[in-house]
Amino acid sequence: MSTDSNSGNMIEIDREESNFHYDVEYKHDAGMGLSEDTIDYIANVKGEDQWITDFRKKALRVFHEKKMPTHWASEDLNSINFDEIRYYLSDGEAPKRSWDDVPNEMKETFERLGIPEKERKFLAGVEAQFDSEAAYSNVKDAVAEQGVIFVNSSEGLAEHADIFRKWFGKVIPTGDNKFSALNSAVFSGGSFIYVPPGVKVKHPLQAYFRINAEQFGQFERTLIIVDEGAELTYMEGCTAPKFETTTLHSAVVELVAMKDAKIQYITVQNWSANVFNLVTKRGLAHENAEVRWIDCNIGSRLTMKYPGVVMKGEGARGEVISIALANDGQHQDTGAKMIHAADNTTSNVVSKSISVGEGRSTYRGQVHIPKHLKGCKNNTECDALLINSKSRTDTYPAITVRGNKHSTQHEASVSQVSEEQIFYMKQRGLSETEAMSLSVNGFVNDLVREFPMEYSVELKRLIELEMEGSVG
Amino acid sequence: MSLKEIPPARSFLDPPEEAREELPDWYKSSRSDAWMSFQDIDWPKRSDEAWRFANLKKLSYENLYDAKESESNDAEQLVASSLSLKENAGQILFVNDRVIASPLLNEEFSKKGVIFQPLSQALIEHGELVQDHFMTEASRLGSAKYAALHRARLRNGFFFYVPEGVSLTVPVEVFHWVSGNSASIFPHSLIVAGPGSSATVAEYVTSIDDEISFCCAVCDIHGEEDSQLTYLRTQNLSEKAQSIYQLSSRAASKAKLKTFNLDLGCEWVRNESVSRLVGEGATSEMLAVSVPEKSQEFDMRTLQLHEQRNTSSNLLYKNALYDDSKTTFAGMIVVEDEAHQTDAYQTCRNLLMSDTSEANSMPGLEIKADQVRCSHGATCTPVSKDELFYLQSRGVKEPAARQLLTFGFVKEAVDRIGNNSLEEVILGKLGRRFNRIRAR
Repeated sequence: MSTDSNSGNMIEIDREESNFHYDVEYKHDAGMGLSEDTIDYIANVKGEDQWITDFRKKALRVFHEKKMPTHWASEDLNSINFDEIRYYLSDGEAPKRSWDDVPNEMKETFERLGIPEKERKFLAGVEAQFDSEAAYSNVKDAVAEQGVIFVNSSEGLAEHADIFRKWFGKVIPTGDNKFSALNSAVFSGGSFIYVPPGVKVKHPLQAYFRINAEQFGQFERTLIIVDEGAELTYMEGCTAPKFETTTLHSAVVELVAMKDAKIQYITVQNWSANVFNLVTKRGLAHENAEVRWIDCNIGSRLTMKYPGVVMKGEGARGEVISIALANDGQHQDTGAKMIHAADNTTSNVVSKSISVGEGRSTYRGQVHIPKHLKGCKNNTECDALLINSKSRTDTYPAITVRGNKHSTQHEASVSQVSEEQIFYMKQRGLSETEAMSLSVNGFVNDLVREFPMEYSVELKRLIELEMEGSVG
Repeated sequence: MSLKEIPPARSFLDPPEEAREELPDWYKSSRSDAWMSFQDIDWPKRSDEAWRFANLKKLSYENLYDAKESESNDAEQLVASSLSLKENAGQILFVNDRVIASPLLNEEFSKKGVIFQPLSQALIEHGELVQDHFMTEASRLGSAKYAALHRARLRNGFFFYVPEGVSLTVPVEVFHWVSGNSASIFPHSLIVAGPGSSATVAEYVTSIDDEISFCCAVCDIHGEEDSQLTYLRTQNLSEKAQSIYQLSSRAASKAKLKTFNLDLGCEWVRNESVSRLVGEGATSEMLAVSVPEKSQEFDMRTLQLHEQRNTSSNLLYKNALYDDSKTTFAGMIVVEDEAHQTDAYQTCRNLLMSDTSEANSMPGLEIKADQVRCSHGATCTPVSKDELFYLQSRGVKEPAARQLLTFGFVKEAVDRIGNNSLEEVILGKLGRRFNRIRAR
């Protein structure tokens, strides 16, 4: 089932909600381009320890040495001009604990996006990042009293170095890829979270990332450590106004789940269609620990993101649940990386993508089960739905299994919305658009249910809006 | 004979020997152009996406020489052992790329215009027909350098042409034997099935001894409108051999092509198999079975390329891995812009029989059209404990039960050849392999 009538102009609707920006006076601006001076500037503004500056400078060298991965990734990466991006912008203020203290432009920004309204409803803590630094950060007293630390990266490294330095850059080394090196050189903002042993944080912690400035790069760095037997759910949302120029978002997110711990990390990414979203995310799961990535990519021009889990302890579990929607001018290149490094580890990947108009969605996966292990299991399913005749989808998994004590299975399928289904619904009085949208929602429904209530409602609405005008 | 007169061994990195005088000019310049390209193209690197997971250390470049003519006393014995089917429509026998017995073709078919000749002869007698089809397909899966090497150094092979509307009821067979230390052969297979014709070809590549050898082969299949062609190849070179084999088929409108590969021999194998569906209603079936053992490494890359609407392809690769063996399967389905209403399926199943075997799978899809039904599946599993238990409870001892289950596992692909006598040949070879493994 497909139709090709003007799918273009009616589709941007949902992004309009976040498509606005304010002229903000930035006190600190590292200027265009990237050099050691940029790093000195950032280090100076932040008043960082020398070891961090050294870490950054080493990372900058790695970034320059590494080639663009265009031998396998999209050539579109070459459209990023690293000299025409500003790497650090902030108002020089510490994050506000009280919403009333947040500067007006930022407050209005977040209020238009519904933050911290969401916090009042059900969150245990919120951090809101505006360009390079957090504008607002607050943890509910009850959660802080349990010993949970929820701060931005600068504060984490300065005041809790004993906890965070041990794992900082260990799950994702600087040289993992070109963009993790870039992040390591100029990182700013992001969340540092520590949950003490046995503490089960009942409500999710949330971070909200907002890019306001033009020709800007946001490089947040997140490190979450959940100690033995503890549990945490973390959610992040991202938006930016639409500019004509390129905006870059390149985050590094490291998760550490100690023995028996559980981490659930939820992302709803709705960057505007000029953002290059090149993110490295990986979790380390110790004995019997569980790391789950629940990932939804709707926005951006090009997203390259393959959340991974290294199952280091016996009985560890890793999971990636991924929904991607690629519309005109978008390429969602997403996937999962499952590294089995201990016996009896299990991983599960379920990915569903929808390509609308001229959108392109790609699944790229890696499953690695090395020698001398036993009882490892992987299940991978990826399904793609193509809506129009110009839509495109690709699947590139790589599975390595050594030994006869494991089992892996990978399945992928590509399909269309069936004509019979649409016909049936139309015959029952639904318009073609409604029928298509219902059908698409049905396709992702079992995954949408994995998101918390508020998000799944929002997701369904986003999908409905994205589908509007794609048929008819 | 004085030392001076012994021709020096010619490494495959040396310029190839001159083509024989009587060969057509286009062919001579094709050879010299290819030698230039070979020198220009870079050697494959592991960092090339097309060589991901490949172990290039096992692919040696040195101390391999153009195979020499083998001792004459082998010939008779080889002719006698070149037996496979009870009945065939024709056969050609090669040792080290040289014809060792008069090629045979049933008179009934030669009268109908069927050509089945060594390539060296066809180049002279049917030069234009060969030229129209010779090496017309690009090397798409990473071994362009080896395609150039093949074109520059090839000595012989076969040309099989079935004219419009002619049906061959029994297969033609081609035997390649390799003999001698460090011998390199470059056999070329060129098959043209004319409109509405049907035929079956079986090709067997086997070592006589257990010396190091190198086989760099290319097979091109052209299936014209409405033709039906089945092509089967078995490779059982010595355990020290290396093989690079590039198969490409081109199916025109409503053509039905089927290929089957059985790999048993070689220390290192690279198979690249491309199936292009260039006409509406074309179908292609790609089948393969591999049973690597010891330290054998089989690297298989495939491409199902749908260029027209209403085409279908189906791929089934089955690997049973023993000991320290390793397989890599990288399969890609590409459905081009206009190829709507396409059905494309791809399945690779690995049965891991030891704790040290390794299977890499990279099943891929690139879909640019819609109204497409596409799926791929890749699995890596041990022998099912339940199935084993069931057989044991019926009194079958464990080693026998394992063998039975493995045999059943690979048989699924063999059953799809659709020619009983060829299936028997394949099952016979597999049975001998499994018996030998069990007896160890």
